[in-house]
Amino acid sequence: MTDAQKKDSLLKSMVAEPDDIHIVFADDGEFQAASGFVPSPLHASKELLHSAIGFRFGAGRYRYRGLDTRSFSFRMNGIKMNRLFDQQIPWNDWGGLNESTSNQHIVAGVGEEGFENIGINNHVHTEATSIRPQRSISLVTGNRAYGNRFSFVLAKGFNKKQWASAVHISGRKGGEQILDAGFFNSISYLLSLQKKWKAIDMNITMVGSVVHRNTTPAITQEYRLLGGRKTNPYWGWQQGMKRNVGIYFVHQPKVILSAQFSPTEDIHIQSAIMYSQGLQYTTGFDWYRAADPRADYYRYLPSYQTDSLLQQQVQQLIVSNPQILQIDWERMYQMNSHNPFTLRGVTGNRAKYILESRNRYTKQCFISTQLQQQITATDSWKIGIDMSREFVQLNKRVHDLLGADYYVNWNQFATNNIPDNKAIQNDLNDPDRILYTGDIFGYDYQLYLQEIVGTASWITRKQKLDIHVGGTVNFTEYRRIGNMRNGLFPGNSFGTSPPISFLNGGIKFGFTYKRSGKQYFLWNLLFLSRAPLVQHAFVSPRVNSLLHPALNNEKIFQLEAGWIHNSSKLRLRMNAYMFHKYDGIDLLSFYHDEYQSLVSYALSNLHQMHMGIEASLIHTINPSLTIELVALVGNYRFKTTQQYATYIDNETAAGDKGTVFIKNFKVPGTPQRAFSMGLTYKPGKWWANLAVNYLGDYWLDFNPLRRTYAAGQLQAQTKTNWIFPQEKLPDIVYTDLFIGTSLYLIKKKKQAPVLLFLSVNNCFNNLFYNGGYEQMRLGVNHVGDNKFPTKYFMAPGINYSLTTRFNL
Amino acid sequence: MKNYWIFLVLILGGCSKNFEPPPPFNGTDAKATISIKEMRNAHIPGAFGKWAGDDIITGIVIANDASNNFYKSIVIQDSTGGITIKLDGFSIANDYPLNQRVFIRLNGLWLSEYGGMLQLGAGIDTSNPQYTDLLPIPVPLFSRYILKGSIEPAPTPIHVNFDQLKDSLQSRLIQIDSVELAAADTAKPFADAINKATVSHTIRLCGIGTVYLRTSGFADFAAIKTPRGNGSIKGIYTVFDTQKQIQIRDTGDVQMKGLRCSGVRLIFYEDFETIPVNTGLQISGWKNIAENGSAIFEGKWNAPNRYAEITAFATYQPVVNSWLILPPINLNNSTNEQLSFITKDAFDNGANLQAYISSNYDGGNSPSKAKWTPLKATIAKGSVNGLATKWTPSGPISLQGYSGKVYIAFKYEGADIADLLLKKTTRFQLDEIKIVGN
Repeated sequence: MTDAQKKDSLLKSMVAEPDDIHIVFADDGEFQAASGFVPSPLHASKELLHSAIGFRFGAGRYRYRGLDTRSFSFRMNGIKMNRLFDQQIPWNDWGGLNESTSNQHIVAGVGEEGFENIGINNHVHTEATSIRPQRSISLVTGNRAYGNRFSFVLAKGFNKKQWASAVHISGRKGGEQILDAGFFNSISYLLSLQKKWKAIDMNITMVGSVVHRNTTPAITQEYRLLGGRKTNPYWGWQQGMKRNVGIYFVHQPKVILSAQFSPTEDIHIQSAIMYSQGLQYTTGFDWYRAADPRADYYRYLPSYQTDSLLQQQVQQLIVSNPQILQIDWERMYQMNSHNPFTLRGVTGNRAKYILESRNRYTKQCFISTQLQQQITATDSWKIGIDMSREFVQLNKRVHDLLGADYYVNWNQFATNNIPDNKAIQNDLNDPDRILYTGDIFGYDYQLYLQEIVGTASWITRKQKLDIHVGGTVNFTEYRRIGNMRNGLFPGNSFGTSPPISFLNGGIKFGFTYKRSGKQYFLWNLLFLSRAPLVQHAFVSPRVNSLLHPALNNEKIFQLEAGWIHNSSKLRLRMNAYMFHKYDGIDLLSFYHDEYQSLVSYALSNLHQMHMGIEASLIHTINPSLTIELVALVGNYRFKTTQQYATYIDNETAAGDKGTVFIKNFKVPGTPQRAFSMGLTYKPGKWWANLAVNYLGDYWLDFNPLRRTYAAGQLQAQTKTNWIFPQEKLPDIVYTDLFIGTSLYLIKKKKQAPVLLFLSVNNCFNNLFYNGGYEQMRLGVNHVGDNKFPTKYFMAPGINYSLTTRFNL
Repeated sequence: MKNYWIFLVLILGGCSKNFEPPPPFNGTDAKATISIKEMRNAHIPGAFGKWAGDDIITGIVIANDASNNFYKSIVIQDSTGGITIKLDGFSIANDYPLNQRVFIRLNGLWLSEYGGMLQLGAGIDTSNPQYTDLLPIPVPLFSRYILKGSIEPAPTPIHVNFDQLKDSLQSRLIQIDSVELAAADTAKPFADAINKATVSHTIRLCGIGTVYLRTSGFADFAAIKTPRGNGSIKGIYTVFDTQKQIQIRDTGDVQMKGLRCSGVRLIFYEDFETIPVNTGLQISGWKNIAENGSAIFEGKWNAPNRYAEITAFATYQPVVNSWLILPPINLNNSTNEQLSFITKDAFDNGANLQAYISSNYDGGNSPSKAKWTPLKATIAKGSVNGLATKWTPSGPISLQGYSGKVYIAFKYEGADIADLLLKKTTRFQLDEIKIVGN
């Protein structure tokens, strides 16, 4: 490689860092049409569309085509990383390892080969030789949540004995830059060892990341206006230090053993097995016969006061003593140390308040094998099987007694004074258990999850036409094992539940008409059914094994068409899509402080329709100046009313049932419209990219109980107009700037390149919310407003990071 | 496996902060400027008055929402008077436990009556002109108006009679003795826990006077049954218009186990007037057992009275244990049962007479196999040089808590040996054994 090429490739590798980058450049090479055969379109990873979704629109939480998170997949060295528990991608588990996980390619949709997930599919390769050979140290400073990062990568290609290895160590640290009392500590590691032996290429990778950070609050507008942009209700002063109640911890290391084998030139087999085990927890308060300790509890804010003078007094007091908006740790310690109580022969101060950890222990064993064969010059097929088993244990532990001597395994909300009341017992197998730090309490259950997925696809690439067809079969099984016999549900809380299983499948068909090397037309059709998530299958898994009342598979139909035009000056891509999801179910679980219980709303009969147009354009004005435009316009709606049923963890009586009148409501949780305009300037020694992004039509997660018959009556009675309508977030506009360059340090006549990369997000410090949800309670206050207003997530203001990389 | 995680958490704990628990709270050094009585006297009856001036009152918390009988309020008192403070929170007993000294900064607070009951609040609600109401102090303003001192000893209630109940006792801890619930209100739930409705029970002094025991349906003890007996009640004195009420903090405030004023029945009586004298007691159904030694209870006569008597004197035995056991007594058809008897001692040198009760004695000749619970009776003692001149009454001994068939026994323990220090031969006389109930 020439120096210039080296520089370029280094720059690109830097650019491909998820927390730094925004864009992956389109390949500059032009296809040479030869012998009438038109090559198939560029790989999706080079698509401006998808890089824009990933990096430009990320700050506004844009989701590709409005699909739910389970529609997105991530594979590392061929093995799927999505948890079975919630089908989410555990991004944290390799966070901070940007340099070694930058070798990825992206497939949007189920793809031509195989049968991938319907959203965006990331494939990352961390085999020792997949990591660019380097010996580098990166230092990142900035004012983001994890503003500072240190990283060391040592990767070597194959040696003479066909061994290769790579090591990556990274540490991240952050503080209060984004949020008051925020903190972020993380250590990440990756080790890879690869050996090529005849036709077999084997690799073992161990990857993990320990993350210890604050949890992110959603706050009401009122609270933000009182406390400011960085305000955070989760902390309070304790002996002169800011103490955060919300701690998030995760460490879920993985070992992946993978092999690639090509017995003949036409056959390619890729196999991998992953074992992983780890712990994730978040902390929060639990309390027994004491006032709600949360600082942003609605009764503690000025708006709760019906009297204008009292409202003023509260407001003034908060302005002069901002700590009133924060947690009062010392008060809790005081109460906890003055509550003597004797139980089961133990005398001491029984805790009124504790910090609890909500834990999830996960063990996974995933196996994957893919076989691809080129049958003829034009035809190939691919089959694959993924077998995944996951064991998840969920429970609560006493994290900190906050100055008390013990706590008791009681359910305060099941309390009433009937003598010998068993309902109060969280565990009848060990009633009145005295709890000390680290003890399990509240709930404790395990989930055994199993998934077997088989896929098959066939593709033929003719002169002017590519045709692909494929299918998938999916067997899913869930089982719950309760470790406690709950006093309210003694019959169905303890022991193993009967397994529930689901059989699903899908087929796809599509073609690409290759008019020329510059023009392509695409058309794809998909039918698919999916099992409900285990998270939705059990309505109150904490206390019983009751199943969702409408436990069925959801059905998906998708049709898309696309047009691609490439020329030396212009790259244009347009897609149109229509997506239907029938028979969906959902489960919303949350703490209901009127019932004083965790409550679940089981929703059924979800029918969603998503349609839209995607367009991107890259225009090369001159070799050093490019303009990029992206437009994503969608319309995602619910097409029918839904049914709801309420389940209350602390009551045995059946809850409410009814209809949710949300026909034609917008699908919430993602902007439905996104535009971006960018300019890239590459004069040679350095490059810069400036992009203005707009996101709109972003509807908030809504409370189904605000769209019931009763809610409609309440709206009429109170002569209000806000209960039924859906809430839209204000439109979001922000500007991002990226600048990169490289320098050379002369060291013993050798040139050691140093790369500098500056990224500035939200350059004009725009104030915007990038998410939020309606509270699950409904109440009209004395002035006719929402007693339980929407909570929002605040996006950071202007923020930057500066990366310096030394290639040693 | 578990250890592994603890290890990891420790490693990370190393880079996270350790939080020192705060030191114990010592209380404010605020001083009261006026008494509660002075504050009450400054109020114009019937008016809503906003306090102007930096005055501070102090008091000890005598009621709160610990058992949920007092809702969103605490009651404090000093030596001059008491006051109810309305607070807009739940579980406020954690902040203001019983016997907590508090200081109230009056400036900006409002005083007004609710049904004649003077209360302190943070504002007035005039949204309904027909019915102006005092607003409670909002949670965020607690610390602005209320300062905390230390925890102090529980104050003694003021003992009052019905005719002494007057408005200056409002919000004070009072005690009324020798009262009982009206017959229709006994053994009824304190309040309606199912419908969460407040219930007022009538309290009377042997049919005279009335004060209402008022209990909220939200009280933790609402479902507990009211006592049937006579005794004392303490609580906070409140009024509602002309109705005089007492509100208890917990059921421990009601000690009514005694005999009611009316409907007294004799359940058992023995005055020994028909027994033969100077011989061992033999009454049908009774047991007179010399368990160790040979002393038994004998009939005696001292004109004109007959009684039972026992002594270890002249038995010359080192261990003397003797029992006198009454016939079985059925407590199922009565309430508030009380035992009483009278005793005399003579030449007291340390022998012991004790009354016991048992539910599992089999009526046989080995009473020590059964479980006997001593009864708290006053027994004659200290007549060293001869016979006591007067009978000693045992006092009323409540048999509450016992039901069904029970046995009452008198056990004598003595010793007749040469060593004067160990010789225990006190002579006891026993008479007028009586059990009454309602």
